[in-house]
Amino acid sequence: MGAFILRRALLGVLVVFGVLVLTFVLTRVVPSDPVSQWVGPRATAAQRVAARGQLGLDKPIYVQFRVFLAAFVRGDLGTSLASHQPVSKELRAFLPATADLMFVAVAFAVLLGIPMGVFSARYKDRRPDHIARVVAVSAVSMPTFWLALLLQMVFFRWLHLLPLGGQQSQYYSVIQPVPKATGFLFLDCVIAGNWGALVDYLQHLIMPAIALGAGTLAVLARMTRSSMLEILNEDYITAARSYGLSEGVVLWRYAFKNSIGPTVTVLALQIGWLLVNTFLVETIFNWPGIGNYIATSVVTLNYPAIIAVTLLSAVAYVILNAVADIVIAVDPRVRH
Amino acid sequence: MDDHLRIRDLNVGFRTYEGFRQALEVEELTIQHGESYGLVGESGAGKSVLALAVLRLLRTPPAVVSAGELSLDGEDLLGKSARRMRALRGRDISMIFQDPMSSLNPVFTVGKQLTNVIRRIGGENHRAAIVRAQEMIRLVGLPDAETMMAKYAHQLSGGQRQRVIIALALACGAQFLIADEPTRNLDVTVQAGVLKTIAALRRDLGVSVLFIANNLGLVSAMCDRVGILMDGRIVETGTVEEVVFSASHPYTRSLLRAIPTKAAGHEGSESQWAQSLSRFTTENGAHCSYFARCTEGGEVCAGQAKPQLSLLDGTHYVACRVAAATR
Repeated sequence: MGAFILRRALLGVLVVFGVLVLTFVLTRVVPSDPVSQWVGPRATAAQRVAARGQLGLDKPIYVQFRVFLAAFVRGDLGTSLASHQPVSKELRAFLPATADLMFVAVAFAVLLGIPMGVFSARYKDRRPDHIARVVAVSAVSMPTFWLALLLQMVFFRWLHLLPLGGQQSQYYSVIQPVPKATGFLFLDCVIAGNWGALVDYLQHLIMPAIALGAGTLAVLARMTRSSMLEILNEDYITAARSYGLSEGVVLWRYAFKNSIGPTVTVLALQIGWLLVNTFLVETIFNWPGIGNYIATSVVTLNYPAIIAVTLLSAVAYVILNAVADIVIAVDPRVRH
Repeated sequence: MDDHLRIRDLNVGFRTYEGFRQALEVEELTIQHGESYGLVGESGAGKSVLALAVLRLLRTPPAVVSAGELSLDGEDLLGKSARRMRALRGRDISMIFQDPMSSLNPVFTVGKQLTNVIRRIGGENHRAAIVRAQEMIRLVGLPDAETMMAKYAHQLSGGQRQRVIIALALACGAQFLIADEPTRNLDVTVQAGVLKTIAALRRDLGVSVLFIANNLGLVSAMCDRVGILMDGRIVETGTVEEVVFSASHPYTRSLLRAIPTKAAGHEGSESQWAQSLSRFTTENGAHCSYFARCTEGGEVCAGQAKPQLSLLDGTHYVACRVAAATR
């Protein structure tokens, strides 16, 4: 088991390094002028030359890469061309909002999608299965941005139930801000005991989380359904029934535990995909997270920010897939 | 001896996309307390369907099950609610599945699977369940119960697995056991051991057994009475002596020829085997379903309805016009 984890970790480092090289080269190859962005439109020629030196752009690209790599190892992700702030600091500011959003989206997808798949398999070709399949197919075939707009129209414009976008109402963001303790708004509200702010935050979270998680919910439901159907046809399931075990035990322990492997793998891949989808969802809902940050950075070719977010996604992907493989390794057949 | 399992006019069919298929048509099958009844037939004859139908484990739909009578110890099984049927399974009637490789849950230890089954009735606490599980492991002739409890299915040999499966089937004290080709995927030497274990359990625990196999030789060694199943119908039944030594149905005789012997190997030719590969007659009630491949069929058989079981002598019944005519 230890050797297995070590091998996975080494593989992960290799993948991250590969991503590092690729994004670095890509951002240098794209025609852009970082110097102008850095100094602004009214700089003198001397200022421009000075900026070139300051950004290290006067050196050959392999030297630039070495400098970049050395800084990366120290935890320095470079300086934003737009704000002249360290990128790592900006990431820290935007990450909590995205983490909250993704956590709720994944929880929504897992807690609803997996039971949906199990019941779908249990009641195959009967009404619960038909309903679940219609829901899943609609959710998976609907583009995220379209679902987001639909939600806004129904819950904001028609029903006046939920706020259109943003993370907080003005009252809580401007007039009565919650003191920052962790940066995670959810935790901060709990720490401050400000339940009004918490409810306000959750109301803002619902629509983006549903828009983000719907596709994953559908994929999990479909995956769970098909792997459960396969397992429910196994001899040991019929055998378990012949020993008089209750349907609940047969379904949720004997069958579910055997069927969870593919679902976990898909979930890990889905979370990586979710991180990418936050770009869309955060832009539409004006959510102050990484997605919003990267969307702005890409448009302005703020390459240190682009590299940093790409790396973040790569690292998240690698870690999640490693975790999925380890979770699947609890299966005794894999373990031995 | 009184009747333990009684089946009368059991019909099982399946609704498929290509229409309705009749799989089983059993006029009568009675097994007495402590008796061992062997059911023999080629693959696809409906042996496993019969076993699953008795336990009511067929999914309905697609399966359609109807019976004049299906009772265990005088208790009607067909009318039981799902809950009461579940309470009966394992406790009163249980089954050994045919494939030891796929009949154990791969992600739970042997001990966990045994205690799950033992504790399902409730009452037993965890410690008592463990003690009982170890007892069961010893009972089926497995050594070293403690280490066996911690093992997963993939760590066991085929013979060990099949013994664990027997232990699972008997863990709740079922008095009626259906053994569905329990030695099908085992080596011959291992087969002998498992069969001995079943025979010993039958003797010691006094369980009644419905023993399903495709080898008439095996069944005649294990059972008191035998039934020959062909295309979902019992075509010959009686004591082992009656059926084996004075086989009357041409199909039974072809099964007997198929038993490999030390002296001559197969007497039956290759072409006969090819002919006897099972296929269902889709046209219902046309004529004797063996007619097309019967070497002895005569004019009495052509164009007639399916022959019914008729008494030859003693307890020996056969469903064949030729056999009935030459009695």
